[in-house]
Amino acid sequence: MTKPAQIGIQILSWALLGALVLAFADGPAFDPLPGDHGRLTLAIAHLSERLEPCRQLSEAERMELPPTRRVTEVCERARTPVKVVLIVNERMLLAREFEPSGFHDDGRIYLVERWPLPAGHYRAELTLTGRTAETSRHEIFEFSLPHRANAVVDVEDHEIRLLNVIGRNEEHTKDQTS
Amino acid sequence: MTGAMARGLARLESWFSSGFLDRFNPFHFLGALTVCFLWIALVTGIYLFIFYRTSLQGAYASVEALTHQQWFAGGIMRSVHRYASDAAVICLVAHLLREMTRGRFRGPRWFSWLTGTPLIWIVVIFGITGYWMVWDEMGQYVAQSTATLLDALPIFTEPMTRNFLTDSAIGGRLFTLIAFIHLVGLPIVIVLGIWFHLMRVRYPRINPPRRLVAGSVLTLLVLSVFVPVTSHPPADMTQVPGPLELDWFYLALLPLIEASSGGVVWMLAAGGTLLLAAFPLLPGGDRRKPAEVYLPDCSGCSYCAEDCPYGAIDMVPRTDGRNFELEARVNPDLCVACGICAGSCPSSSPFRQRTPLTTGIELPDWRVDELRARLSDPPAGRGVIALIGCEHAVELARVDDDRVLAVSLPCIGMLPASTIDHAMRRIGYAGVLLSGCADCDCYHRLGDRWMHERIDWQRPPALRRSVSRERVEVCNLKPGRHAELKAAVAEFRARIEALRDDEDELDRNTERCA
Repeated sequence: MTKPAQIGIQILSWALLGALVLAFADGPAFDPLPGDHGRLTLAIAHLSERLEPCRQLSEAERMELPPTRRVTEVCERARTPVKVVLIVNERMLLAREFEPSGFHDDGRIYLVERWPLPAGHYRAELTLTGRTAETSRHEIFEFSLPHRANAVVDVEDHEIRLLNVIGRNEEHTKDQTS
Repeated sequence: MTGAMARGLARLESWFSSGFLDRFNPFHFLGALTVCFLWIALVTGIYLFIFYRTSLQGAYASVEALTHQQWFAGGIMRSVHRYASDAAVICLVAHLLREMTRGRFRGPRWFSWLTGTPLIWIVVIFGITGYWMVWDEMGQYVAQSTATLLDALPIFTEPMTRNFLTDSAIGGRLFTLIAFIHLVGLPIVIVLGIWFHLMRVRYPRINPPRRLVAGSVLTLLVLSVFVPVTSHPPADMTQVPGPLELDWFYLALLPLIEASSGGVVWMLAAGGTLLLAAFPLLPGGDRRKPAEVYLPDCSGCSYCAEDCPYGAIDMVPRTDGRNFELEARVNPDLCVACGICAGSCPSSSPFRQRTPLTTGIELPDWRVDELRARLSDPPAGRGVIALIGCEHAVELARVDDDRVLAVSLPCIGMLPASTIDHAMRRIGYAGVLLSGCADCDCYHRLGDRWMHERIDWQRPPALRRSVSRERVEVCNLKPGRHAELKAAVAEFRARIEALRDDEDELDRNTERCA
């Protein structure tokens, strides 16, 4: 093979490598959302009530304990599961019971779920049902979800917030923004 | 199937060889090219890190400043860094497919195959952490997706994804951690990984030839100048990022999370990795028995241990009471039965009178005695050529010539140099044509090199100096290049016939003078 032909093959080979790099280094484009959609994220980090209520120790029971460990009450570690229901515009997105984290079921309930939703106006109802009615929560949010917006309903123990979008919480009747 | 793929690969490589020549063919240096691209990414990465700020606000701003304010240096460096990383993946995948197609995962090669598998993931994690550092929309998507992926594993109590709900949720020191992993942790892990990968390979080829390094750098520079890498808009947790110009070399798995779940992606990745790692367990690939030492002929010279490409021979203290210090011992778990040790053993000389011919070390399935026997029955007529070649190089059987005797060996390095002398001086061949694998592509890595060095008197046991080198020719061809082999045979025949005419004339002149 002649020298110019060899050089031509070399240039072509390097060009092929370059073309292959370019073909996949910067595309084809990918969109995590369908067209004209936003996203609703439900994030929960909730410490549920204890499975058994704390119990006061009697004086006799306290005296049986070592002097440095004479506490006034004892609490079982395990906590109750919580049922989470999320209804958005009368469509049920989630209805599931979650167990507390940890080997002894004594940690928080954690959850992060996402749903792509078409841009528009939404009414979201979130219900957290514990063992008793006092510990259950029911919140209703109304919000507009623009295209590409990432609306977050964040439950952190007893605080429930709507983040990243402008909306209204019916329970608190005040605008929630961040 | 594998044979057809191997032939197709050889044809493709032949095209590259016609342009680059065999000794610079990029396919012969895919592993070394991967390392070379990683080196380029490392050097450019060090430059980029000098200007990088490891804070939430500073990360994106510093990368933008590098890209635009000093485009002639930082911008080019960033592009070269990114494209070199992508080219490394291309070479890595090509290296894997090539070794797979050629069946180089069987037998003792399982170790290199197995230790190479995790390197794929280390390189991918390298890329993923690199995208975090830019902290643009792509970085945001990669961070959220990898957090989702990690949350699918039961290792964190609190989901990592909670850290990416809002801008204020992101910790200020996140980028210090990611930079540490990307710049310190992973480089150490990958160097250790490569070391393990090459642990059982003697004389590994870690660096490609300079010509290929120059071509690689030039290609990356041209790409960087004409298609410079830029960032997406800055990360914003109130928005879902997109559409994204994904780097599919590194991020191809992440869109699967949207389509399925983190658990499914883990199962796919783990399943694929296990499947790949289990390749050495596949049936097939007829394996010869490992080499055996025959102590009565072993003088403990160590040549076989020096030449073994797989480190399968150890020299140990003598056990038979003979007056030698050492003896060879074969580790059957490391021996691939290439026979190179038989070619390096001085006692493999066919001039020895013993019948059957025994030697210090050889393959029980392919003995030196068999080689001598096959060569000792040449076709009738004058000008007969002995064609001795490697079974992994061009197929010798395709040379349909009644004045050629063809013998295929497991590796051309198995040929004792004295056999060439014996074939011409004792048996009467007019010449010996040796056929090895293409330059820098020996199937058994070093056999072709040792053969060249032995006949060029650079390596013991060497060819006798009195042997006419004009009657010994070497051709290095890939499988499928029969036409070139036939042409080489014809050219060699013409040369030795010209030599014969010269010798006849010399004889006549000598007689006249007498």
